[in-house]
Amino acid sequence: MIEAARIRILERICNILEMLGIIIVLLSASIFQFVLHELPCPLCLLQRIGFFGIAFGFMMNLRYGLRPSHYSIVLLSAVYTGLVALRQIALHVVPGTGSYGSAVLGWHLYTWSFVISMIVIIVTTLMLGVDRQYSSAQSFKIRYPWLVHSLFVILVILLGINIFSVIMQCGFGECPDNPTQYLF
Amino acid sequence: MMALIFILLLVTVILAWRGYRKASLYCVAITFILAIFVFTHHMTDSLSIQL
Repeated sequence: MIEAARIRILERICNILEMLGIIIVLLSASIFQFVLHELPCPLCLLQRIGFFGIAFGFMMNLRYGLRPSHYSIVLLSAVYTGLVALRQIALHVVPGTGSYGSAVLGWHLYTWSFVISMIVIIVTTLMLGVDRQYSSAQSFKIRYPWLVHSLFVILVILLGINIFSVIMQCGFGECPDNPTQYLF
Repeated sequence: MMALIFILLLVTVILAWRGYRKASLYCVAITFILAIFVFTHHMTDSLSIQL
């Protein structure tokens, strides 16, 4: 039988890997926006918010220890992202309605968003179900602090970039349904 | 509204980073409620379809 300490290390590594995966997703969304000049629609921005929520849940696990409440943030955010992505897929599934943005490996970004959120839900549910990881939550110490802090810094930078771009695109009001240019 | 949600998310992450766990959880709850509100608004909007 695997020791509880080893399980906690494994869970932490899984959290870091999932966190890195979400950072790559958010980074690629910014690359699509600023390098390929594809403006995000309101639903795309809402999916980004969901991904930030997922990343936040994993960050809480790394910062404060493995807790079911942190996993619930991840799951709620992933369900939210999946719902928004599914809504956007439904918009474009009707013949003759075209698509939004360019495709990556044959799928559009909102389809990828739905698939990734489903993967996050499945993996997180499996991780959440391992009881032995919660055994000594009170004596928690941050492992690999440099890694955890650098992930926090990356998340803050990505949020800063998104705040800047959203203000440029929508100001402080409502975002246009079909954005074609920046407001400022 | 969208900008406000992103700013709230930034505040949430910074609060969590600085060690204010409970405050960041309240903040993320408010963010969720606002995000759901904006989603319901854009669900019934004229659609973001590019022909």
